Amino acid sequence: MNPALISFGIQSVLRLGRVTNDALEQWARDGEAIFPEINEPDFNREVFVNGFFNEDENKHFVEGDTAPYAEYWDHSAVIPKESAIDALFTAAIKISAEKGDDLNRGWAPGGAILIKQWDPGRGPVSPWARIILTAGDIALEYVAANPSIFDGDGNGEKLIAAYAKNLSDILPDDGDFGPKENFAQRLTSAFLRAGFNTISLNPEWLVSEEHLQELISSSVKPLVETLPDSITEQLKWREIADAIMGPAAKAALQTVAKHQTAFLGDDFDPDKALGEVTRALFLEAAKDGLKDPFTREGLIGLYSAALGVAAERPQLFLGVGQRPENKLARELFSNFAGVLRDSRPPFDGEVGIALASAALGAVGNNIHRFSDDTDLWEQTAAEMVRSLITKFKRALDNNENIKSVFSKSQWIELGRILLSRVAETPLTILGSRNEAWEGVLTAIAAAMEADTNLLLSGDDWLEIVKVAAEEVATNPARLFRLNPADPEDVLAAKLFSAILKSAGAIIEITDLRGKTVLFGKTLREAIIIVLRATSGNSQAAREHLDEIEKLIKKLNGFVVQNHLQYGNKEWLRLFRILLSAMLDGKDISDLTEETANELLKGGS
Amino acid sequence: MRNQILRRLALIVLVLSFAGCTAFQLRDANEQLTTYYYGKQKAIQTDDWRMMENLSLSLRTLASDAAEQAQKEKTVLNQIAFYRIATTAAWQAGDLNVVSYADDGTKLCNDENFNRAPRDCGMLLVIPVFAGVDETTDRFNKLQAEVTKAAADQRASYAQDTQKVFADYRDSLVSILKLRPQIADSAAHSDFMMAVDQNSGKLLCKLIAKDAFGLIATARGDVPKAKCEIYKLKESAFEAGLSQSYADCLPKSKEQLTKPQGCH
Repeated sequence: MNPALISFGIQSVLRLGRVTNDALEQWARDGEAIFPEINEPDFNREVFVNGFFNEDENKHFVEGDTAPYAEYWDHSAVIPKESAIDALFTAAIKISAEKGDDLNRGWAPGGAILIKQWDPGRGPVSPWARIILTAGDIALEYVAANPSIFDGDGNGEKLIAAYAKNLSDILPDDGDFGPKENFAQRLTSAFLRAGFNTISLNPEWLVSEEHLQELISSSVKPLVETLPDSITEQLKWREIADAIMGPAAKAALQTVAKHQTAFLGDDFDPDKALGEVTRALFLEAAKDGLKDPFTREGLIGLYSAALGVAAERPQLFLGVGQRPENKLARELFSNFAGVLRDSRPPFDGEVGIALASAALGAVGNNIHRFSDDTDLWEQTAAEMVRSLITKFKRALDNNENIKSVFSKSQWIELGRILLSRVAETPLTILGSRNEAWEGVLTAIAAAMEADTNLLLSGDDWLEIVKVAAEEVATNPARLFRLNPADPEDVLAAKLFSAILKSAGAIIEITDLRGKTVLFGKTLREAIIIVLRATSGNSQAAREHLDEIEKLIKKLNGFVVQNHLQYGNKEWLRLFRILLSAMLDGKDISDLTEETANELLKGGS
Repeated sequence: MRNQILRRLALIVLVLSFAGCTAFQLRDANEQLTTYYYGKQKAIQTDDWRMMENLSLSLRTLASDAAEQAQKEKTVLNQIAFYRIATTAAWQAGDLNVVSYADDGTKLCNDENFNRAPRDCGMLLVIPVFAGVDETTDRFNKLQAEVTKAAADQRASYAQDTQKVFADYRDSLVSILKLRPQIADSAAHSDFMMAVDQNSGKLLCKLIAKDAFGLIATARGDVPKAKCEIYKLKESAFEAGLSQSYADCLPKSKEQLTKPQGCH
């Protein structure tokens, strides 16, 4: 059917509104209704034989002097032995065949009848009209709330035109729709509803009809083409479509509205990319039929994240390297779903999805900086998230108290800082075995484990992570290089542990607890000082690791003893000076009030 | 060009009066019912019991949703339509609420409404009876398994139970035959009468005259009495208008029926 005609029909429905609602309801009531057949009892040969030979017309075969099968019969029933039952069953078939009867006649299972309400002259409207009515009904929902939807730049009309064009391409002209066509209608309607929703929320949205057509077509058509043949599988697909297509279409069209410039003009790649991602979402959802509690929200969250990348960098989804376009998006979902499905609190749900989104965004936006293996970019992003979650989860398992330090948003921000900074310099950080990435995660996780007294707040951690991310991005080989032979041998991890151990030691002494300054912001600054100072001189840091720990202890003891004279500012200044001197190989053993004052005044 | 204008006009006539929400809920519920039913039949044929369980659950949910929606509807004909869906779905789910859904629906089917929704009201009358037949068939299957496994000298102890199954089938058929004239006289589509007759014919000629009768004989029950009751049921079937077309154990005319010996 001509798409213009479909559009025209929908517009007619819109113009007339709900004036004749009764007529539509009558049409629905009078549609065909199923009337099932009663069930068939289980077949049993003995019972069958007894029924058959007790009928008057068959009785003479088993009773009386001339009865040919009397030997198998005992009064009103077959002798209950297999041989007798078999003999009479065979005889019954023979007798029926001779009479021209078919024993199975007329009672095939599942013979339900579809029945119209009444006379054939008032049958239901045609399938084409049903499509138009469905679309009109959806549109009316939004017109009622937002009457301007068809005014101005005509977004509503463009949407209906795109919808009509797609259905016109998919559905046969004769209106003889099968399951595939009905499925297509269901999916396309989800886009239509989502489209109106998006227009309502984004009145300023500018979109071209051709782009919408492409987006709907590339999302819906492949799904329709792969609809299974079996009824049970089709039912599963329909369940998935009902559960996921609405939110997916909404997310897709909101992405289109958000990235308007990408969806105007001659470039149709973003539409194709969004279509690929939508299809991949559906196929991933179909894998386990959304049985896993993670699946629906998790996949939609992941989908939204992938759409953002697809809108900005569609080429990433349109077949890179050896992988065709239909494989890449699927592997993205498969990889990330695997990571997120395995994640445990607090990295499951919202946090996990946000981390995945951050990784996708970070890697996607820096794809040009990755090596020749860019066709595996989504795998790299997924592995980064997996490492991050695994390391931090282990830290939480070893120091459960630290969970209370971080809010959900802080966990997300922490991951975002690391992922985005690392993705900016992937070659140096990820390397062949992700040594520096693993290294920085190991270091931060070790620090979290070491902070058993919860001396740092969530915000303090974010500041430390920012500096760590910056250092690993600029000097990956120094503090954060992981030794593959010994994954715990990361210099920064040892430094963090040493500082937190020293700071924690004084907190644990009740008398001194109120006098120490090394916690919170001061401790954070101390860690940052160490990071900055040792980053430029990692060899010296490795050699003086024990002395750094001793220096902190000594400085703590000194400030506690003289707490009326020295506070956190003095502590930090002295630490910066003494640490620098120590790394330069100078002797700093002598720390008295006199030497401290001299250092604070600017002496050496 | 003229053809296109005509098509447009036809389309306008077709669609200009249609809009609404209930209509689509009703249509969707109806489609779901059909799909679940065929899915269940397929699952039975392929022995996919997990799928069958899932579909039974879906049918049960559909039944309760439709009944709930019926209560919300403001138009009595819509209420009847939703109760028809609830009743059919409950029947197929083996849900005992089938009777209460049907009762709620038939209460609305006064003379006026019966004429305005003849198929739906007719279904609400007959479905609980056929649902009862299916329930009896479940009992029949269990009993048949027990009787045929029992030793020959133990089978008579089941005679009373087999006669009870027979009697329940018989009572169901009597109920349906009583309803038949009302359905036949209504404006319901003739396919509905045909569907009811097919089920009635199967009940009489297969479930009663062969299966239940055969089971009574197997349990050494009162075969002559059962035979006499079958004869009487055939007489009633004729009187109610059931014909050989749908009940192949019936002769062409009532006069051709042969009364068994000793049957009064």
